[in-house]
Amino acid sequence: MGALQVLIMGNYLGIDVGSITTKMVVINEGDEVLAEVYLRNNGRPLEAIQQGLESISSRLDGETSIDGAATTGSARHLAAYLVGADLVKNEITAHSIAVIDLFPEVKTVFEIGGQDSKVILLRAGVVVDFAMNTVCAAGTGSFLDQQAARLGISIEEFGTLALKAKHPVRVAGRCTVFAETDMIHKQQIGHSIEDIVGGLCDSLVKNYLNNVCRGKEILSPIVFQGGVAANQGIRKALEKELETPLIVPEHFGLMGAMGAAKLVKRVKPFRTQFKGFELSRKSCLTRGFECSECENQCEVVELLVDREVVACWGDLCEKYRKSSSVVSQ
Amino acid sequence: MEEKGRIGIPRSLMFYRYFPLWKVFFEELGWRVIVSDGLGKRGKIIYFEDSCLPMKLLVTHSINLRGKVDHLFVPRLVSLHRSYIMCPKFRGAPDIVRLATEGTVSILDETIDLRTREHSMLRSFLKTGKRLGADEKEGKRAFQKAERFFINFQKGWENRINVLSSKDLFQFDIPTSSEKNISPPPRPRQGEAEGELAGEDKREGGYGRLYSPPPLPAPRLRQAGSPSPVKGGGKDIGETSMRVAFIGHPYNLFDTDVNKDILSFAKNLGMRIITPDSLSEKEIDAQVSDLSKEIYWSSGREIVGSLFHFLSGGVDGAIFLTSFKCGIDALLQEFIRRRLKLKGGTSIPLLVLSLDEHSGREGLTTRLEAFKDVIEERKRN
Repeated sequence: MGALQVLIMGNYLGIDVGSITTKMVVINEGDEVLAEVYLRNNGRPLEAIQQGLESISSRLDGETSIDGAATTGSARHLAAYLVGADLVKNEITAHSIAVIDLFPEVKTVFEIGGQDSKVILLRAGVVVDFAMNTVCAAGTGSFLDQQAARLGISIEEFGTLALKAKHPVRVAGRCTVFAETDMIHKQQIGHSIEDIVGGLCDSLVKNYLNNVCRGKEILSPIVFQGGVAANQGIRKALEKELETPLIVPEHFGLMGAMGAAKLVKRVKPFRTQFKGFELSRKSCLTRGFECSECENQCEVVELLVDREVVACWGDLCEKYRKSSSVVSQ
Repeated sequence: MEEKGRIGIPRSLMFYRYFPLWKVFFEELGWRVIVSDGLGKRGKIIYFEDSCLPMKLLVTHSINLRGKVDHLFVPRLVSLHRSYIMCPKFRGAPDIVRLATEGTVSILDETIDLRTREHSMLRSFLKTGKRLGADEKEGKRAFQKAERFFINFQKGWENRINVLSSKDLFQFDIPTSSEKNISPPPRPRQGEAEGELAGEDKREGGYGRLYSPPPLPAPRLRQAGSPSPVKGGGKDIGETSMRVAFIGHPYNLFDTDVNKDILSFAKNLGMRIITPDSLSEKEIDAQVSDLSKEIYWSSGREIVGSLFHFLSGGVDGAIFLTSFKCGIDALLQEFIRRRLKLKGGTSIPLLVLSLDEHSGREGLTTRLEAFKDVIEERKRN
């Protein structure tokens, strides 16, 4: 590889910190995935990001430098402060960017994650409309997780079990509380676990289509992504309901992170803010306090790396907020 | 003038449109007006029955004023239009407050029902004045002054929204540059002041929305799909390229406890905000006059009428803010959806945001950021 080429070839890190899982991906100039990580937050996003950085750096060869980093997902701002991101992007745009590059002809994107589910409408490679679940997390990954745990099966088995259902039972899908009561009722009167799990998939899909997608013009080709796309049961139920096959991308769980990485690749930061993979070996923590200087009583959060405050947020007056180089575009 | 006492006005519901009128009226009669504080970040909402969030906030704000004022002003708003009505909860609002405060506060609750002469805005305020010891002449003078102030205030509204922070929207001592003085403007109509109870809601639709204001000086672009940067509005703010209409009940649009100050976030994203307040009744009516069944809620007409007005051009995007528990909003959403389908969709992006008691802003900001990306992407193409 010539010196000139080294200069123009960059590697870009995309980080997607969702409510349940953290995803990271490193791509090169040609959009090839050099390394990827998918791990659970267990309610501790900072630790998850550190762990993610550690494991992704172990999968890269030592020579690989990072020329740009971007964050997305519901903890995108926290992640950006921590790792030093060049770009912060909302997950809707990040997801669509990833899809448009891979499947330019796609018209609809279903994305079901841990706590959010969304639908994105694309026409001629441009986002024209989107919707997210509003006040209800029914049908998202965390509910499926919870039900799998209750039934004593792993979430990985869940989908295959659902495929074995012979006569999926009817389960109320409108609300997780009702769904759970309904499922318990069915189990107590003797339905097989396969039929119950299959029925749950059917009803959650109906809920998703009726709530999140209500009023949206769902045209194929359709891409299905997000963590829940791993679930064969949900995927089959969607295909059955819509009577059309779905495209599940190879990196269906990493699409948000991929989109972020691609976006920062477009920006090509002159000098990246990324703080490096060493961050995983530093002590990182946040602490909150309530400011009592005015009636707003802001809950201020401080981020400490190696016992030094590196960022602050939550203060309406921005008194504590240190100037951060993070750009939100 | 000697202060006669204190009138408390809960910072909720139609406060977010009519406060200028109410305040000037009471002050002209020699009363001091006390407004409840915002909830603040740590504010506790007081639950009273299983109501919608705006009604819960009415109760919360009323209780906040208890003991600090001589009277609470909670008018019984049956109708603010010559033919259309308010949500039934407005009719019961004074009773709800009376129950929640256990009858410990005197409530000024005159009925306002513009479908009848008897309960016209003027007559209703004259009755309120009478309860406060003002004779008809004093009441009328105060009302007319209040009315003029309100009309003038409304004219500067779009500018205020875009220039001032949300908490200062109703701070009259901060005029924006376009309202150099907020002193009484020229009479809206000749011969109105004299004559018995003249000017009694003879204007287009009475108080349906604003006072059927004179056309705004700010030019509005009508042609749809023009690719050139949209001009207009921001005379003294500088041109911004993204004009976004925010539509909804005034208390959803302007109460930061309900919407987490989404307007300031939108402004930070570079949006110039337009609200239905800047439309005339005629413009709104044009979009709802051909319906097979009339929308009989005045707020519903305003929302649907202005939404379709904006979607026909002149803005880059439209956002409908709804209350999660609002029955009217729930029906309107479905209605809008069907009408859009009939019209073959919209070329202007539309976002429906549903507001409830979430304390976090994250969900709103994510959607708004994405919406901005959609608008920009569309402009590029």
